[in-house]
Amino acid sequence: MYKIKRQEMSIEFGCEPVNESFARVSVAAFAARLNPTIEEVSDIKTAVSEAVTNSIIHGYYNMNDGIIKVKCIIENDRLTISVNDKGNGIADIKKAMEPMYTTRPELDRSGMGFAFMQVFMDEISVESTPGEGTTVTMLKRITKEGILKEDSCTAVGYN
Amino acid sequence: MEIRNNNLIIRTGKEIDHMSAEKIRKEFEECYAQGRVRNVIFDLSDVEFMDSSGIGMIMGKYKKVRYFGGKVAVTGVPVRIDKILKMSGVYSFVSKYDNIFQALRACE
Repeated sequence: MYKIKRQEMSIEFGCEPVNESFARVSVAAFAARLNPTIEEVSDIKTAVSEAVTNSIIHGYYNMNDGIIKVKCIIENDRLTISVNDKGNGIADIKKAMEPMYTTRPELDRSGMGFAFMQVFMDEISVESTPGEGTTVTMLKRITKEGILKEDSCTAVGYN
Repeated sequence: MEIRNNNLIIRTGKEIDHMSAEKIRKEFEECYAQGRVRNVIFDLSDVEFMDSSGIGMIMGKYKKVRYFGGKVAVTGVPVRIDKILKMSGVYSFVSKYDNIFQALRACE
C-alpha cells in the first residue's frame, strides 16, 4: 500500500470574491503532489469554490471584512480540506444543506452549494455556531493509480 | 453582451463562479431594463470552470424572462459543464444547442 506521510498547508485571505479563484488554485496546487486526474482536480476546485463562496456571501454577509482560513491535509490517499470563517454562523445546518434552499435569492443563488460539495467530495461535515462562525470539512480519496510512493514525493516538482 | 432581434447573447468567460456570475447579473439587469430582451442565450464554449453559481446564473435569467414568454438556451457546452447542468436538472427548463446560430433559429 502506498503511504504518504502527513503533509499540510494553510492559507488565510480576506472575504473578497476575487479570492474564490485564488483559493481554488491554491488547493489544486497543493493537491498536485497526489497526481490527481483532471476530473479529480475539477471536483476539488468546485468543492473549494462552493465552501469559500458560502463564507463570503453568507458567513460575512453584511460585514465589511473577515478572514477565511483554508487548511489542507494530505495523508496517504486522503485529502482533507477545511474552510473556516468567523462570521454569522448557521442557525439550522440541516436546512442550510437542503438542496435549493438559499437565504440570498436576490443574488441568483441556486442553493446548491452544499449539494455540489457532497457530489464532488467523498465526505463533508459542517460545524457552526451562530455569531461565531462556521467550519466546513471535506474529504476526498484520490485514486490509487495516481498516488506517488513516499520516497518519490520529495523528488517531484509541480506541473 | 449582444442583442440580436430580441435575443440577448451572453458569452461567458473561462470561469463561472460567484464573482463572474455577479458581474454578468449586473450587466444583464442593465440590458434587461432597456426592454429589448425576450430570450437569453448563454454561449458556454469557453468555460473551463463552473460551480453552482453558474446554475444560479442560468436559472435566475430563466425566472426573469419566462414571465413574458421568453426562453433561455445554452450553447457550446463543454462535457464537464454538461454533466453539471444535467445533474442540476437545468435541462428541464433550458434548451441546449451546438452553437448560437441553432439557438437563434430555435428562438424565432
